[in-house]
Amino acid sequence: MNETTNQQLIRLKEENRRLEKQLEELNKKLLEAEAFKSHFISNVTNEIVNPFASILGLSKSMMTAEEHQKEEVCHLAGLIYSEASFLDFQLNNTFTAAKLEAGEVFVEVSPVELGQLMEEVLESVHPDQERKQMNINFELLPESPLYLHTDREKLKLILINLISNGIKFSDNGKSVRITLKVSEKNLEIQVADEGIGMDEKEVGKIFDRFHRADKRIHSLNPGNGLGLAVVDGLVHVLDGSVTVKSSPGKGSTFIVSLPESLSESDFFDEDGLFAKDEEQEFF
Amino acid sequence: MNQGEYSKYYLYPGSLFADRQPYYITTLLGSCVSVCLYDRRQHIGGMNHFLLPMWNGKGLASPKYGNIAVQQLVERMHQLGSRTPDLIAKVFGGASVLESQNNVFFIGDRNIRIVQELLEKEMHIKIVASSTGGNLGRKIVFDTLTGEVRQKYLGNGKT
Repeated sequence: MNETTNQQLIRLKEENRRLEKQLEELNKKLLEAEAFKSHFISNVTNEIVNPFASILGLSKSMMTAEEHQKEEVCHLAGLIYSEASFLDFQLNNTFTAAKLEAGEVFVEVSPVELGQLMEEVLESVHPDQERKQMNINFELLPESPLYLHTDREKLKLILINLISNGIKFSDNGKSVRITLKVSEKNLEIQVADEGIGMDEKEVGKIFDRFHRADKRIHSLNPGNGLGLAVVDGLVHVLDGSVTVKSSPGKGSTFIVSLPESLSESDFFDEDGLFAKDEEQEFF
Repeated sequence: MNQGEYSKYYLYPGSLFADRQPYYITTLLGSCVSVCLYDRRQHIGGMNHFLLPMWNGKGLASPKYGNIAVQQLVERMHQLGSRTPDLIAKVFGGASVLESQNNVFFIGDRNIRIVQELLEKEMHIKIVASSTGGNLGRKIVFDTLTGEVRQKYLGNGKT
């Protein structure tokens, strides 16, 4: 009888310890979530409220323009456009990050023509590029029009994030080199900049949310530190991998590899199902 | 087959496709299963490609699960004006491409069984032809105008 009571006591103690540990862990997670939230709010304030203020101010100037000031009005409209595009990109990144966080990102596959996609990508990074007078070199291998079956919007967001990152962390007048290489079973994207680069310790942290390699740069460059976390998340959703080579002062190269990005010709090859072929069966 | 009048569509695992226009829909199958639905009255067709037999009710009811994929494909055909009695089905895939899978999970077998149960028992859509099981992957092309499906075995199992 005594023994059973003892055993029961031991069991209860163990149970107690387990629950305490659980509580501790939950507490830790709550604190983390709290820190994340305040960080998020301050980031959103910077990255969304500021462009909005610019847009409001600029459009007000436009409204009060005289009839002969067409040139001035065009200039202002250009500035508004560029602020609005930046805002659009930031919002897209923020929502994507939130969806990734909640595990609610789903892949929609469609045929994507890479050349055309790159044109759109380059157009959206153009304001940044012009502001910093950067060169962007773009190479697509092989050169012929290529259709891949992948998620267009996700691939686009990955590319824009990598390229604007390259621009952001480079000095004026430097170059960013983009190579898209399509092989039988994957698409390899390389984005190389001549920017400030990172040491090994920093490289390990860059895919964390809101991480910026150097706090000093934070004040000089726009961005909320979501970009690479979004890239990392999206690449994983698309079943790919992302790596980075970097050294301080010498720039960084981001390499994204996406599998199963198959060109249509792989499935409609001349010697394939439509050829007279003994192995082929009809149903 | 005059390829000129057709469009081509590569069906990705976990998705489905159906259209009023004539298509060659193609896909690669290992333990995954594809159902080709053909409307004999309208001469149109659609295909799915699913990976797992049943949706467990958690997360998104995505067509990567057999029960969802079959249901959504039939719904899609209805949207295109098909009536259930005009529909016939052809079923492909469900191979045991991995040794361990063969012994433990029987994913291929379960994928095929869910299709038979749903189509024939619940929806009363007849499976008129099938090529399932075995341990080789398959490459299939569905001609949605004629309803014909061409199949070729692959050397190594896929998806």
